Amino acid sequence: MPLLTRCFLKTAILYFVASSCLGGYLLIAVGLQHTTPPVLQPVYWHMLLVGWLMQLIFGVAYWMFPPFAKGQPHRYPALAWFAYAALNVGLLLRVVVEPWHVMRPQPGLGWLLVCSAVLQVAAGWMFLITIWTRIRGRGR
Amino acid sequence: MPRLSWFFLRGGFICLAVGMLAGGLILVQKGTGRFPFFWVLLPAHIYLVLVGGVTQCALGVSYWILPRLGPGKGRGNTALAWSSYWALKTAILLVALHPVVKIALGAPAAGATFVCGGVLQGLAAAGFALHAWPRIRPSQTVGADSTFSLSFSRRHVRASQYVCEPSADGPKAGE
Ligand code: HEM
Repeated sequence: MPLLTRCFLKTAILYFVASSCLGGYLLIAVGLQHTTPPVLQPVYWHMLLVGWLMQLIFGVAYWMFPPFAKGQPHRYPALAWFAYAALNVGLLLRVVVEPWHVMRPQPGLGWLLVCSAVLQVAAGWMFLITIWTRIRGRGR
Repeated sequence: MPRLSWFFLRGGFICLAVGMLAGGLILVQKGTGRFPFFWVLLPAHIYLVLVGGVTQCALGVSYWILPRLGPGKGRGNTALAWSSYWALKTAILLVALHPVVKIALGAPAAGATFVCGGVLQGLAAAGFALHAWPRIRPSQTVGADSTFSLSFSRRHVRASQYVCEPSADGPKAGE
């Protein structure tokens, strides 16, 4: 299993645990009829879906899709590493800044959310570029 | 990798990237307070990433790695799987175009894209389920299934060094 896949999968598992704790807390709060800040909902969904599910998909795809060429399994490995870094920095930024920005807005804070958006979107497109040529085949 | 998986997976990754772009624009709105009309992208964002991205990737990989039905039967009813692909693709396109339709033609027309998309998504899911159902079965033992190529593991591992364990009737060499 390539190092990048291991990084994707281990980070995904960390997000799985973290998002499950947050989701569990939100569920318990609903059960006890306590109010929670509504902004925690999208934060929870994105920790679960981007942090866990998407990183799992990216990591497994990077590992098991057909090799790019003989002796060169991955195309643009540096770009794939960049996608990994951008996705995680962007997501972490969102997880920290979004609740902060909604609950205690401060000038300039919103621009960190813009940075988070740019990083995550760039990560998605960079991963698309690295994986594109490996999605091919000849069977029916 | 069979052609249909290839189509599902390429489509899936494109939807993920486009869906993330839509989500990114909404996050820019949340951060800056400008461009409130970006919220029209929310249904397209959710649909593109979940149905377009995650679901298509899952269907593409299932079509590729589920056991075949045995000698001469290959992957079973492939026409059904292809119909499911086209139905899902049309549904995704309709929902992705929803913001444009809403701006150009108004809410009732945009609602119609959801109705058609919903029907097609249901049909696509039923079609794929019917195709995949008989393929979800225990794997054959080595040698019991002529679709298995013994040379697969050796050649494939040498070529890539990181492939998962092949099952007897799973993907074949070079796929
Ligand atoms: C570039 C990455 C992404 C960005 C910047 C992004 C951004 C957003 C934003 C701003 C919202 C609206 C949140 C609100 O209601 O306040 C949203 C909603 C949502 N997104 Fe994303 N998203 C991204 C990726 C994804 C992915 C990959 C998935 C699923 C696989 C996803 C699933 C959802 C869902 C389910 C909602 C609705 C959640 C709710 O209403 O609480 N997003 N997204």
